[in-house]
This record gives sequence, structure tokens and C-alpha cells, in this order.
Amino acid sequence: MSWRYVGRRLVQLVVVLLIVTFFSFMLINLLPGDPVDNLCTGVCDQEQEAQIREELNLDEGVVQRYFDWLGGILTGDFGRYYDSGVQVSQVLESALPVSLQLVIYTQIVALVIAIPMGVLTAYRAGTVFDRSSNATAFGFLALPNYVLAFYLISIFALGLAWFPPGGYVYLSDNPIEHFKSMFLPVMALAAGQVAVYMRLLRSDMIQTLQEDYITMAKAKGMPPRRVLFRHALRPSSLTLLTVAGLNVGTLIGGAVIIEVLFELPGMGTQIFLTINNNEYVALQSYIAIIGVAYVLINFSIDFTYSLVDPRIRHG
Amino acid sequence: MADEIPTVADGAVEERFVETVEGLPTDPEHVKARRRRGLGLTAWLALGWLAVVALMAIIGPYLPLPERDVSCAREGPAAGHPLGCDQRGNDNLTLVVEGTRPTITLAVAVIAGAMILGGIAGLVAGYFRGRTDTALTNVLNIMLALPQLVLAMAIVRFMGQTFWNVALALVIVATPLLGRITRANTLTFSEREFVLAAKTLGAKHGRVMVREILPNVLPAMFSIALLAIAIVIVAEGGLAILNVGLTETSWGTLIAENRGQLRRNPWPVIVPVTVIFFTVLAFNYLGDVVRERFDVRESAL
Repeated sequence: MSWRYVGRRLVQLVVVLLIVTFFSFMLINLLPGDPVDNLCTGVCDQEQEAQIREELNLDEGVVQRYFDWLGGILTGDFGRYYDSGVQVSQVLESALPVSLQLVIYTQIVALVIAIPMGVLTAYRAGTVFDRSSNATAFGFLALPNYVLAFYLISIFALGLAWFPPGGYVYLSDNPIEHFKSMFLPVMALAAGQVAVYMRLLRSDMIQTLQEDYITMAKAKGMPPRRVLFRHALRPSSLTLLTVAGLNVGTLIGGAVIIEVLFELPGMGTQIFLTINNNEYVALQSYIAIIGVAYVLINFSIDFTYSLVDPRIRHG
Repeated sequence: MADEIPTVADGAVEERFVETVEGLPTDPEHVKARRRRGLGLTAWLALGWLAVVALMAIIGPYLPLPERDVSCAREGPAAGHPLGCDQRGNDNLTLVVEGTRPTITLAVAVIAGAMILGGIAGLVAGYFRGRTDTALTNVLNIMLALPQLVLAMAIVRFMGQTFWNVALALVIVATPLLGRITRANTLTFSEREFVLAAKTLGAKHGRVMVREILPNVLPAMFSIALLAIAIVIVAEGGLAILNVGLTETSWGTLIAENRGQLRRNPWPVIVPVTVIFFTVLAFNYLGDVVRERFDVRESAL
């Protein structure tokens, strides 16, 4: 691992981050329509219009505004909501934990179900159990998460009333109600991921199980459970954890529909609200944060890989 | 004994999971198995369902479907109204048939757009390689890095909630998918002898791309297009739930309009949602069938 390699990767990272933030910024600025009109919705007098113009720095060039905004973000100033004057960073403080909880619970549930299923189906590849699990996984892959959400709400919230149909309870307020309020959204998100992880682990494990060292372990009389979970799972789990890591990045802002359906006050709901209320600055900050999070997670996974496997560095 | 761990040589392992990233699946047993297999029952069921959807889209408005009936409002399935009614007494079956045409028109338009844009980008990137490739691939990757649903929401919201703006937003979502698969396959095919032969004979770049490479990458594009259609149909519903979907009656808008009534009467939501699920399932399955037939894989490099 040479310093030159590290330096090159870091330069690349900075370039990608600049591009992603610039895209998030331009996205809102390129869209047709004068932001002032959109914000005023036709009820502003000259003075208010001038004030908005001033606040948005609309008289500056686009590039200048981008760097102003970027400078703000780097110092923790994400702008504020016009309507209420609330700082975006304040909202972020309450919304981000909710989304992170949702994403992390989802990954835990998905991995806890998928790992044993993947190992077992690889071990029993070709049997009825394997075939039926695969068919079920295929079904869950095709099941859009909001479709599953409506099924779950209808059955478990409205029909059986085991869980609330929506709303969020803080973990510190009431842990039991907290987990009850998170259960259905987590299930709606996890189902598809279970299917992905299970299929991934299964195909990876089938290859691992053909390695000589597995035959060796079996020949030495090691019980199958130990062979599977100790010796075969370890190399196969690397790919799985990579994909799980990437999914954390995708889900932080990608669970908009589920958050809205279950009335969870996370990042998704905030994005939904900013779009509906024409909160440009807040929206571009949220998009940038999610894009940057995604890039950083990708980068750390890539970088860890290259630490572990020198072939990637030199390839 | 159950302790025996099955291997590929046992023939116990299903074919598509043992394909390695590079190199063809070499085991003659499963190559034969794939050739031998006709369209299975599941594939026919999937095709049958899609035929029903196509029919609903084309002749839906002329079908003798149950009319609005106030006495049926908020009821579940009953005689004359097999799927129940919404809160105003509109028949759920009639509504979902009515919503088919906009949904399917949108999906087809978006996929056509994405195949053209993604196809051109992928062909050019994979054929010319080098800087062109790096630039185009980076654009596609950045499109994937931005949260796509949010992007689509912002576009529809700020450009106006019209059919073509929704289509444009979804084209931006679907294009990178098609671009990447086209590029990966173009990279492999542009190295082949027949391409070299065409170049040697003096064929121009455009001709080589369109006449030599394109026909070979089409199966891959087609299999991804089937998956992408499913994604577009799901996204249409998602945008509608977030109030930035189509304005005409579609599968998505039916969900959005009726989800507030879920507690009193789940049928107006469950019906379109289930229709979406079946359609997505059918497209995914057929996409898989095509992929297996033509041995498509994305990571050629």
C-alpha cells in the first residue's frame, strides 16, 4: 500500500464528491421556472421578492452560488427553510436518526434471516427445500416494498391490530412501542433484501463448498454445521457484507415511500415535505447529503477491499 | 447421507448460479438442460398475464364492465362487483382496467426512450473505449449515485405534473440501467473477429456499431428492458403515492387516491397493488428467462 495509491484514491474521491454535489445543486437550479415565483406562488410584493432574491443570492452567478452553498455545507450550515426559518441542520438532527434506525434494523433483520437460509439452500442445493426457497425469494424480489407495506398494514395493523398502522415512537420514550412502530416498515423493506442476500450467499457458498479445504475439513470428520458456518461462511460473507453496506447507502434516502406510508419522520419524509413545499435550499442539501453518503460508503468499501486484496490496487 | 455436500459435478446445482463471472458455463449437462427446456408453465402463465394486461390497455374502454353503483360503495366483493367498489361506488375492476392504458403507455414510452438513450451511450462508450468510455460511464454512475426517486420527484414537481414530465423523470431513472448493460456487452463483442473483419473491410464506425454489434447486444438490452419496465411500473405507483404521479386514472393514482380510506375499505388499494405485483412478477420472470436463454451477464469486465 503505497502513499501514492492512497493519494490518488483521495483525489478521485474529492473529484467525485464535487461532481455529485454540483449535480445536486444544478438539479434544482436547472429546472425551469423562477424560484422566486415558485416560492411566492403569486402573493409577494416587490419588497418580499427582493428579499428572497437577496437571500438566495440570485443575482450572483451559478458557480459562485454553488461554492457559497458548498462552503456553508462544509461548515455545517445547510441553509434554512424559507417558510418557517428552521435550520436544515436542526431538522437533520431529528430526521437522520430515524432513517438510520430504519435502515439498520432492516439490515439486521434481513441478514439474520438470509444468512441461515443462504447457507442451508447452498448445502441442500437442488433439493425441494432449495427450490421452494428460491421460488419464494424470486417472488419477494418482485414484490415492490409499498405493495408489501399495504398488505402488511391491511393484515397486521388494520385486521389483527397487532401493530400500529403508522407513526413513530422514540426509543428512549418507550422501547416496546418503538419496536412495534418500526416492525411493519422494517418488514416491508427487509423482504426484498432477504431475497437478494439469500440468493447471493447461496451462489457464493456453492462455489466455496467445492474448495479443497472444505473437502479436507469434511475428511477430517468435522461436523457439517461447523464446516458450513465456520469454514465456508467466512469467505462467502465478504460479498454479502459489501452489498449490505451499499444498501445502507441506498436506503437512507431511498425509503421515501415507506417512511411516508408509515408516517416515520425520517429523511424520506423530510424530502417529501421539502419537495411539496418548494423548499429549494433544503431539498438540494438533502439530495447532496444522501449522494455524498452513498459515495463515501462506496469509497470506504472499495478502499477496504483494496487493503485486503492487493490485486484490486494494481488492477 | 445428508452430510454429503452437493457439488456441480453431482448435477444437483441449478445452472444460473454456478456461472462464473468470466467464461461460459462449461458444464455440458446444464448447457444441454437449458437448450432442452421449452417455455415452462410459469413462463406461459407470465405471458398469459401480460396478454391480459395488454388487452386491458388496448380494448379496456370498450369492455362491458360494471358501471358505477352507489349501493355498492365501500363494499368488498359482491355479486356484480367481483372486486368490490371504492367509496363513491365505482367498481374496482372497472377502475383498474381504466388505469391500465396510462400506466402501460407510460412504461412503454419510458423504456423506448431509455433503450435509445442508454443504447447509444452504451454502444459509443463500449466501442470507442478510452476517454469517451470513462466520461460516459462516469455520467451513468453519477446518475445512479443521486437518489433516483427523489430526482424523479423533483423533476415532476418543478417542471409540472404532466404525462411527459413523469415520463422524462422515469427515463432518467431507467437509462443508466440500459446504458451499463449495453456498454458491458459492447465491450465483449467489439473484440470479436467479425467486428475486426468488418473494420478491415472498411466499414465506418456507425455501420460497425449498428450492423455488427447492435444485433448481438440486443438480447441483453431486451432482458434488462423487461426488468426496467417492471421498475417503471413500480415507480409510477411510487410517484403517485408521493403526489407527483400521473394525473389520469392509473394503477398508481388509484393507490394514491384510496390509501386514505384503507382503514374503512382496503379493496380499492389492494386491487391495483396486486395488479402491479402480478405484472412486475411476470416481467421479472420473463426477463430471467431471456437472460438465461441468451446467457446475458452484466459484469463482462
